[in-house]
Amino acid sequence: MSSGPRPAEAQALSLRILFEKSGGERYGLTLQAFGVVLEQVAVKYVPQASQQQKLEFWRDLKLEELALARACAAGHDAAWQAFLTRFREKLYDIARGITKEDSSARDLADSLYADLYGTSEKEGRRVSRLNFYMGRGSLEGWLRTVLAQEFVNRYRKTKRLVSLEEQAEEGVQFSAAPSSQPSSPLDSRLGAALDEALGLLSGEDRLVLASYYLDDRTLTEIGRMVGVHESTISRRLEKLLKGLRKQVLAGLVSRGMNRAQAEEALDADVRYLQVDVTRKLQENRPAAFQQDKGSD
Amino acid sequence: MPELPKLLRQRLAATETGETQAHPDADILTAYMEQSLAPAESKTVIAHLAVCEPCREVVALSQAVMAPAETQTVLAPAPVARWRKLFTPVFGAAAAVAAMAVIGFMVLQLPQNHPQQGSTGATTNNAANSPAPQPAPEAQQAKAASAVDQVAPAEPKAAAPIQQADTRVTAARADLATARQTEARLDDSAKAKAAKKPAQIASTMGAVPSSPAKAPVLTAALAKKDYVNTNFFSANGADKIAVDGQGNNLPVAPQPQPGAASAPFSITNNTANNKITIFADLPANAAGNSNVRLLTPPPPPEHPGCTMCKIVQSTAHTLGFHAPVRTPALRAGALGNSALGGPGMFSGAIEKSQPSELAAAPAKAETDSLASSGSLSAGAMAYRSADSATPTWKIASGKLMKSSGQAQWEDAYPVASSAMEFSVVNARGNDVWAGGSHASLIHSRDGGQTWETIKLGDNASGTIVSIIAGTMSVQVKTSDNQSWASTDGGKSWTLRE
Repeated sequence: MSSGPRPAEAQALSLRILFEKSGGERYGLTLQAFGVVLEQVAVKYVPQASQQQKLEFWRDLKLEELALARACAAGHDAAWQAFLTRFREKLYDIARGITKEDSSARDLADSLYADLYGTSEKEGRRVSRLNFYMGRGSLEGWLRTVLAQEFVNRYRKTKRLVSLEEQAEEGVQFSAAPSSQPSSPLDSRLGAALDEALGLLSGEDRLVLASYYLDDRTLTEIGRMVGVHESTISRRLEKLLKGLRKQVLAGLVSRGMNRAQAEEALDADVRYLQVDVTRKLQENRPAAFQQDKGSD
Repeated sequence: MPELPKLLRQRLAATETGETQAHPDADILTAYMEQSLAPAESKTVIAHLAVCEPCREVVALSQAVMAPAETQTVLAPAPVARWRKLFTPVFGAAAAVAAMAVIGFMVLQLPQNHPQQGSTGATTNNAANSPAPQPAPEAQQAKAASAVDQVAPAEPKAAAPIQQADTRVTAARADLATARQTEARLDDSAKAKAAKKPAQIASTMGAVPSSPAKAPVLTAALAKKDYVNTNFFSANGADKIAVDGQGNNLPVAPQPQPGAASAPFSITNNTANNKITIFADLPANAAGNSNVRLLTPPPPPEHPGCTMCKIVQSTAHTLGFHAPVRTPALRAGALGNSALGGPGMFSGAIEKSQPSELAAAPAKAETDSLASSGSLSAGAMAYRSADSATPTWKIASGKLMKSSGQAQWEDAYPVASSAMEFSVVNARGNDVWAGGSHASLIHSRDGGQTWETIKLGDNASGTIVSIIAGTMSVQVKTSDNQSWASTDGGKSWTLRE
C-alpha cells in the first residue's frame, strides 16, 4: 500500500523548486536561507495562511529578484555584481526622472546606494535596505518607489526649513499665525452633508477627487494612477461633481433647509474655503516613510 | 455649480488621514502600480491613497518615471481579428475613392438621360401628336418656323405664319444683306407678299422636274408622324423594332412617291454605301437642322443591376449624340450673291436655321406635296439613304469625268469633248451642272445620261469658275467676273452686279 509524500516532504520539494526557479544559488544563497526569506515574506503579508496558501503566494513573488536582493543584503559579491550591472544606471535615471535635476538626482541615488549597501549596523551586522524588499513587485519598481519616498521625505524636510529671506520674499515673514479655526464658521449642516456625500463615494472616486482638487494632478497623472484613460477621468470628475451636488442638496434639505436655502448655502460659504484649503495643504507634516528604515 | 469644488477641497483636506495611518510599504505600492496586487489589497491601497497625500505623491512620482518602461513591456501587439485588419486607413481611403468614382458616374449619367429623352421622343411626339391649344410664345415661334419648313402655300391663310417667321428671323439676322432686302419688301407690302408668296413657291415647285424614281425620297405628303428608316435598322443589327422615346413602336417610313407633284424633296449624299450610320453621313441639307431626328436602334437588353452595362450604354449614347456634325461651310460672299437671296425669294427656312448652309434650303422648302399637306414637319422625317449608284464627278484635263463608284472614270460628255473644256462641275445627286470655257454650261437631271446646253446670256464671257446650284436656283460665276443667276432651274438667266 503506497502513500503520497508527507506534507513536510512536499513542502521541501516545493521550496526546492522555488529556489531553483529563483536562481539564488548563483548569487550565493542557500536553500535554507531562501526558505527563511520566503517565510519572512509570508509572515508579513499572509500571516494566517495555510502552507498551501503560502506556496501559492510564493509562486506569485518575483523570486529571482527577491533572491538577488537578499543575496546582496547578505553581502554576496556575485549578487552585488549582478545588481550593479542591472540597476546602477537605472537608479540614476530614475532619480533624474524624479528630481528633474542632475546633482540632486545623484545625491538621491547615492544616498539610496548607501542604504542598500547598509551603512548602519545592528547587532554587529550591516543592515541593508534590500532586506525590506519582499518581491511583491519588481525590484526595479521597488527601487523607484523607494527613491520617490526618499525624495518626498527630503522635500518635506526641506520645506520646513525656510529661510527668513525666503519668507520675506513670500511676504509671510510677519503674517499672523494661521488660526486653527476658520475665519468664518461654516454651516455645520453643509459640512456634514458634504462629508456624508464623500463618505458614500468609493475609494477610487475619492482618490480621483483628492488627486484633482487637492494635489492638482493632471488628468493624465490621475488616469495613470488609477489605471484608466484620462478622458475617462474627465468624464468621471464631471459625473462626480454632479452627483455630489445633488447629494449635498438632498442632505441639506434632509437637515431642515429648503431648496433655496440649500442652494444659497452652497454658494455662500465658499468664499472662506480657499484660505482653509491653503492652510490645510501647506501645513507641515512629519516624514512619512521613516518607518522602513531600521525597523527590521 | 462653480463653488462646489472649493467646498470639496476644504472637506477633502479636512478628512485627510494619511498622517495617522500606516503607509503601505514600497513593495505594496510597487505591486499596486504594476497591477499585480489582489483586488482586495488593491482596494485597500486605493482607500489609503484617497486620504494620504504623501503616498499619492510617491505613486505619482514613481509612475511618471515608470511610464516609458510600461510601453516597453509590450513585446507584441494585441492579436487583431483578420477582418479588422481590412479597416486600415489605406482601406478607408480606397473605399472613399471608389465611392466617389461611383457617385461621379451616376452624376455624369443623369444629365445625359434628359437630352436623350428629349431628342428621341418627347418633344417631337408632343409637337406632332398633341399640339397645345394655347402654346407658349416660344412654342409659337418654333411653330411658326416649323410652318415655314412645312410650306403650305395652297392655303392663303398659311401665308401669315410664313410672313411672321420671315419677319422675325430676318430681324434677328441683320448681317445678311439679302435678309434686309426681304424685310424691307415685307414692310412695304406685307399683305401683297403674304398673298403672293405661296403662289410663288407653288410655281417654283411646279417648275422643278420630277426626280427619278430610283432616288431615295421621303415625301413630305405625309402626316406628321415619326418614321423609321428600315434600311438603317436592317443594316445595323438584328433589331427590327424601332421604339421611340415613349416606348411606342414607330411605323415604317412610306415609300417614295415618284412624280413631279410629290417628289422633289429628295435627299442624297455622297457616301459610298448611302447608309446613314452616323451624323456625319447625313446629307448636307439635313445637317444642323434641329428638327432632324435620328432614330437609333434600341439599346441591347440591360443586365438588371449591371452598372457596367449602364455605363457603356451611356457612353455610347453620349458619343453618338454629341459627335460633331461636319457640315460644309458657306463660302464667304456666296450667300450675299446667291440667287436664293434675291428680293422676295429668300427662304424663311434658310434664314431661320441655316444661313451658312446654302444647299440645305431648297430641299426643305420646295416640295409640292408640302403645299397640300401643310402639316409635315421636317423633325418628323427620317432621312433615307440616296441611290447607291449615285455617280461622282470631277474635271480632269478639261474633261468632265464620271465614276459610278468603282474608281473607273469615264468621259461623261464625250460629244463636246473636243470643243469644250470644262473647268467646274456641281453635282447634287442626279442634278449635275458643269461649266467650262466660253461661258458654256450644261445641265443634266438624270445623272449624266442626258444633257442640255444652257445659254447664259448674250454677253456672257469668260470661263465658268463657279457653280452654285440649288434645286431651282443656280448661280454661275465666270472668269470675267460675271455673276449669272437663275431662279427657274436655268431657263432664264440674269446678270447680276
